Amino acid sequence: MADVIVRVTSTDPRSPLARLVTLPLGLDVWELTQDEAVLQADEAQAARLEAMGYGVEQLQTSESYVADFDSARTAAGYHSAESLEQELRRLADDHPEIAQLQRIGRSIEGRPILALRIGERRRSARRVAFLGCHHAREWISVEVPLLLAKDLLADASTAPVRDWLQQGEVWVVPMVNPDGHEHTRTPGNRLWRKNRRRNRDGTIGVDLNRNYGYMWGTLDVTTSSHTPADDTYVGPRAFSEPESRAVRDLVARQLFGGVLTYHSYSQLILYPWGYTSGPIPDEADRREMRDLADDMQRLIAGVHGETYTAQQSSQLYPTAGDTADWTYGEYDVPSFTVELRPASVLAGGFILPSDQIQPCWEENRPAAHAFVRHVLEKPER
Amino acid sequence: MPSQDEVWGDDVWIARLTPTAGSSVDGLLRLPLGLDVWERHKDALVVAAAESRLAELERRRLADVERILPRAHYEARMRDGPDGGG
Repeated sequence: MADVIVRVTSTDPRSPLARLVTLPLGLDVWELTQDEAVLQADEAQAARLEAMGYGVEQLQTSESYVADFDSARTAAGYHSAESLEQELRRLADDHPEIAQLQRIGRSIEGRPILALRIGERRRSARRVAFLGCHHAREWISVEVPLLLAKDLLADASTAPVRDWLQQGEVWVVPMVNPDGHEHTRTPGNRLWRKNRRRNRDGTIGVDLNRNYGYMWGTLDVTTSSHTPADDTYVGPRAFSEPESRAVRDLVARQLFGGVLTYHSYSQLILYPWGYTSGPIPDEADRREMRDLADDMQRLIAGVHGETYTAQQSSQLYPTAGDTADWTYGEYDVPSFTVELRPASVLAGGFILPSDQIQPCWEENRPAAHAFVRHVLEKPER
Repeated sequence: MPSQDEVWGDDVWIARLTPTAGSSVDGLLRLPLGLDVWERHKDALVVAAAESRLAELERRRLADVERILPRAHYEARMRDGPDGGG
């Protein structure tokens, strides 16, 4: 039975619109105002509403809505899991001497999790990783690492990129959570955060950026929750999710000298720890990451004047089991979470207008380069 | 699968929470409230949360709640805006 998008109105006080959300009809209510509701229903549900005295006007079928929605989004410049794969494949095909596409794992729904390795593999003991899209709704966090990969490949024959790619490798994983990202492309789900794990209690999703194995599960707070329905559900155990395991195994294989993971929003540069308000005990490590974060802040501000505040992760809020705590805690390498544009919900929040993609990338470019330089050119300890 | 909030038929709001006297932003974050924290400021949080949870915060006098707009309206506004943002 086909799903339809309908506008529902009521002039009958026995059938108030507010009652729609409590009716046991399994309706998917998208918008509800005093005058009308817009919802998704199958044809039998729509007929039932009419029989109950509601006015029901079909706006379009769900299928056509999704088609419109998808084309609008494609035009808007954000990638889907599929278009990202095509783009990464094309980049690897166009630069076979320095780029290689690898599948580092599969998501819980079976989608490939892809990494692009960029480097000449001459004496590539040094490697640096950029990750994106642990959280489904943070679309800009796909685009920035992808643009970094394209930029490095475009500049591969000129210094300093040429030298970096001779010395080491840059690994880019733009979409750690392809299932969640695909889910956000369906109507009514744009603000989904987690992966698509079916939890034991019937709820869906684990917060992948709470599922890593350093100090995992040590907090039970709003921003690191043990309640499966919550947006920050840490999962039943560390690395319970195939997506976080894919990153874990990649890091274990490549032994990166530094890891930077993109998120949105708030314009922040975060360094460990997230699980405690206490600072990193090792003074040299602490100074290294704080100085590098300050450099990145300055470099970003120098492009378009935007402020990305450098701070310890827990100053944002407590997070046990996040990526940067794990890569630093387990591997002792500089690790950052960069929260991209915008600064506030008033400027768009998670739904960043697509005309912001390019300036967001432009301002993050010198900071990403500084991180690559720092990791690949760092003297041996 | 809708979230628990949606199962309960609660409207989800984007709201600013300002801790009341005797409470603090850190204190709010330490509570297992299941809030979806979008922003942290020195003196407030911006969250997405069901009406029932916001009402609970008010009832327990943990925070003053400014309901900015329903999350569904935010999504629709961003989707239908001049650019759409994807």
